Amino acid sequence: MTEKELLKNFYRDGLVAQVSESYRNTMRDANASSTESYFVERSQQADIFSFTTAGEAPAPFAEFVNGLDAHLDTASKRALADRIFRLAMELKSDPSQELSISQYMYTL
Amino acid sequence: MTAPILAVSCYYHDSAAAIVSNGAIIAAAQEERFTRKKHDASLPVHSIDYCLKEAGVEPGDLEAVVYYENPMATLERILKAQVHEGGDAFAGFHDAALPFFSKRIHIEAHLRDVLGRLGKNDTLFLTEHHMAHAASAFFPSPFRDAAILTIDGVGEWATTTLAYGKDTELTMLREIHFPHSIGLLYSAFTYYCGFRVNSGEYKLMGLAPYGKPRFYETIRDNLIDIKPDGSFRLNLDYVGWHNSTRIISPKFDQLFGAPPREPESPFQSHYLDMAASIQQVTEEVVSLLAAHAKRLTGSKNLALAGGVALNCVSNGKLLKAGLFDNVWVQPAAGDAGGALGAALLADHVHCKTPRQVGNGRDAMKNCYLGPSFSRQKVEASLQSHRLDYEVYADRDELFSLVARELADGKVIGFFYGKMEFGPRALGARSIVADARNDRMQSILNLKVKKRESFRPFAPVVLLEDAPGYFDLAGASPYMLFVADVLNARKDLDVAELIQQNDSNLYAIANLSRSGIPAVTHVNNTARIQTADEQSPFFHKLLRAFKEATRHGILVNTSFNVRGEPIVCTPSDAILCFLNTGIDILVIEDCIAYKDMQITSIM
Repeated sequence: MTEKELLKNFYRDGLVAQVSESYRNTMRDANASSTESYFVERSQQADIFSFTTAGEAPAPFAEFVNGLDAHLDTASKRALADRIFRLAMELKSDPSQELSISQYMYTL
Repeated sequence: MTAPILAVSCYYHDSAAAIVSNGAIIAAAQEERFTRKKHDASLPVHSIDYCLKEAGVEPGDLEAVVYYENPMATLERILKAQVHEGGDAFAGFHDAALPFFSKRIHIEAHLRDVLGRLGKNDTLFLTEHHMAHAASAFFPSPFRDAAILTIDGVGEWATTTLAYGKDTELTMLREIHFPHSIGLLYSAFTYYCGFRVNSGEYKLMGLAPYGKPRFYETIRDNLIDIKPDGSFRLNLDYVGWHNSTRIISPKFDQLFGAPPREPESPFQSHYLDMAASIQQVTEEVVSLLAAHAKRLTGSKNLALAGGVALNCVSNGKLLKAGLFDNVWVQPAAGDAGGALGAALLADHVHCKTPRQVGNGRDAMKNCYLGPSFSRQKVEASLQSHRLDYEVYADRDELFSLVARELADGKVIGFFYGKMEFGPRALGARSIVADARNDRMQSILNLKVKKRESFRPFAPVVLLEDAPGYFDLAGASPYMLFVADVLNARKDLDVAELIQQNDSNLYAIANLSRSGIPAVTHVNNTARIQTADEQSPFFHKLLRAFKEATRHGILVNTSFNVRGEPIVCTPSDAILCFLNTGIDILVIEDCIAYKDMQITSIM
């Protein structure tokens, strides 16, 4: 897998697009002081789980990671981190750009 | 019966390995003790090797191999947080993500490289960071059931959790998520006051009693909104861990009217007051969280873990408040203890191994979980360093001699048995001295430990004698509770002294405040370790000292110098002995006097 393919997969499978509402809700909140509690409720039995099914991370992400490890040196990883971040920022600032960014990615 | 379970924490700070078998902790050790790099975060290959040898098991025969967090979820958090913030956040993402790309998400491959096979199923198991902390707090505790409170900087998303443990079950109930973190806020003040993040928090706690909490209201009004249930939200305008490479933002400096203190520069009262203020806020949050945990669970017992649980001032106040009948703190409350928690979680919850509780004792074996060395190995090491030494066949005779030397003002390096797991030296790798000596604090700080003069030393006291010296109910075997010193001088006003002495903390710290001045902090408190037969060597030494002086109490500080990990091997101890002002080394029934060594080897 090439760096371009890795980047495409990473983008296509959407981890960078998952700037979730739940996260937004934990950030600044003008009405914060009106809520009764800032706790997130859980009711889950603690346990261990297999690395290969780690949490909610999408499977293609693991593929991305494996490919990254196999094919890229440190400098390339740094460059890739840079690109991932900038793409994610573009997507966040203007969701309508998703298509054009996607097209751009697949023409890499 | 299940085979032993190995768990690992690494790639953040304080990496460690632990191994458990059928509910019993077999061994645990921090990598820094082997590599001699303080807070070493690397893959703990030496600790793993030690644990496997101690348990007598091959990697392929392990029931399971467990990592103490879910690195995928953590990377997801880092990415989402930085993407959300934008702007200058890329540098933060860059710093945080690269170690992941290189290390943490490859933990399975890295462990397979070391172990060959990851247990019977050749599978790496994960847990969540705060689940591991909660497990480390509850499963080794002496409680059948307990409310559990874990607080640290951050794991995957959680920074604070409330949980409930009963028998072999552990249920997570409430969480507070990143970026809202009381642990990171405390670290922000640590940085601001000129100490290193992730290691200087303890110093900040020690500094706090010198100051007045005059910024308490400023913090409450601007930085943190605390609800009656203890949950909180931070004003992120003042911090930087979510969107930059700095832990505080420029607005933080503006709010408090001064820049961060330069490391190693003199202490101005501003920074003393900052330390006092964040300490008060932290105590308030912990107290409210504990009260809510009590309401949620109805338990009379509380178990604590996570880095903030090492705040023994807060722990002491929690204990004294009497909200819970019993409070137990995991001695390795930081990330090293996460390895132990992950192993116990796999054993009790996943493998359904029953817990053994009911004798009032915890399962930590007094933290003596690390390597030990035979007399033969000790003597070989003494000889290789060309030290003159004597061997005592009669330990009672040796300890009587040591007691007399202590009473005579000598500083003694004390090395016996299995090394401690966790940040505190508890009698296996300790430096001991006479707590009654009013010069001892400065002698230890400047000649031996070579550290900041303001920092207090801790006492170890015979359990049965503790009520005669301290306002402490019950045992404190792990030095995790601070309590008032009885009969201390109340007439010394710290603020006035600071003004009179031009903020010279050295002069103030060395004022005699009680009959045990070397362990009495400026606010007339002490961080107490109680010792009984479960600490056999320390207990015997204290008994001998009491016989010689009528006082079963000593200074106990870790066997190391500033910036280095606590000693592990006889050779580490010998080098520390030779390079510091330690007068006498007592090591597995061998005794060496500094003034009897040939000058050429020193």
